[in-house]
Amino acid sequence: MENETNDIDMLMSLDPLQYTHKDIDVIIAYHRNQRAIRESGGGRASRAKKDTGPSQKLDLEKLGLKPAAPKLVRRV
Amino acid sequence: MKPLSPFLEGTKIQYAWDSTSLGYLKTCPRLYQFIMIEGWQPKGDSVHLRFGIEYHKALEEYDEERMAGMGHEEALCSAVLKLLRRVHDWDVDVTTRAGNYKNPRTLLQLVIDYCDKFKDDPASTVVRENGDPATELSFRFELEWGPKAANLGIDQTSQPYILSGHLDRVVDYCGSLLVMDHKTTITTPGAMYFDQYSPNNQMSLYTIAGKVILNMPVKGICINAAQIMLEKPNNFVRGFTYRTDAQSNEWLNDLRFWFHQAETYAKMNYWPMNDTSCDKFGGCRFREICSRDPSVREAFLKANFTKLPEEERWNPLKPR
Repeated sequence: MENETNDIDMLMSLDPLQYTHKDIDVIIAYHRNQRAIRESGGGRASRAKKDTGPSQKLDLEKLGLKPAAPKLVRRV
Repeated sequence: MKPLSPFLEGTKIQYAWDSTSLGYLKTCPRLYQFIMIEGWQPKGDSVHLRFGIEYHKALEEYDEERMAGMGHEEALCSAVLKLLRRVHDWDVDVTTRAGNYKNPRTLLQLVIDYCDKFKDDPASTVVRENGDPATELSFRFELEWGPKAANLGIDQTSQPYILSGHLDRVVDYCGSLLVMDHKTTITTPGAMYFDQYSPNNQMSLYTIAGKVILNMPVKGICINAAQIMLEKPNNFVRGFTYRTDAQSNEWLNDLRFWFHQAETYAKMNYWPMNDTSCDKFGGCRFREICSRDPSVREAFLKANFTKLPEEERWNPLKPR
């Protein structure tokens, strides 16, 4: 995969007047292959959620903090 | 040969209009003043403009080769070779958002994907009365009226208004005659995206132009939206926008008022700011100027923009 990228970088940096028919075929084939990779979902992974392990409940009292407002108590 | 000026000689009254210059006027008279009257252009190559031009050109070349009888592979090869030659020296800063989406690599991928997807296009190019295919149609036609200044003899001659532009291709799509227009976008071309084209200045003008130059019942525009994707496959969606004769007449009638307004601004030598347009289309490129105190605007224009010489400014009469 990396080699393919290097090859295409090299090809695309050539003097455009020196391109052969075969070079263009390779460039087109590379881009078709890129499309196929994207279609199969193999493109760069979309932003995945960080694995931060099981979530923990925040205990303000344990941290020595008080809730900003006292809990509402329903009066009957 | 130097193209004609779109302005009446010795005045700032524009008589030759295309959808771009008219769009500036309608969006904001001050935007129109900066670009059309004074010729300011942001420094550096406009990535969006270049990308759009190269994409259009590559698809045109592919279509031409196909119409000349070439097969898909051969035509694509030819279009890609010409594209590579044109963009070889195009240096884009890919660290910017615009450059990340619009650069020679993404352009090449988009062109190849489009041609592969539409190699057996159901839309067929219309053949004109003279036997030529209806592609690459630069149009220029006169209206029945002109600027008042011209009619009053200030300019010595009676100059009518001229509408000009360029149609890529007129197609027969499922029995409807439509102008085909390519657009590139980085947003999803869903219903909301296509809503922007009705009503729409460019699409209304192009429908009228299609009817006038082909003398055929062109019904509207087929918009070929190409969504540039970085990780997923590029996405191509076709949308349609139609104009009835009554809608076209209404647009032309409204044009009288817009042109009258443009002439008034030119005579007053003042183009007011429309401050409800500044945040449209991702933000006006002149917002950084208009948001400053009027006394320092000229200095900021000089620092961040280039004043083009007259012959390089946007000119609806310049042949494409």
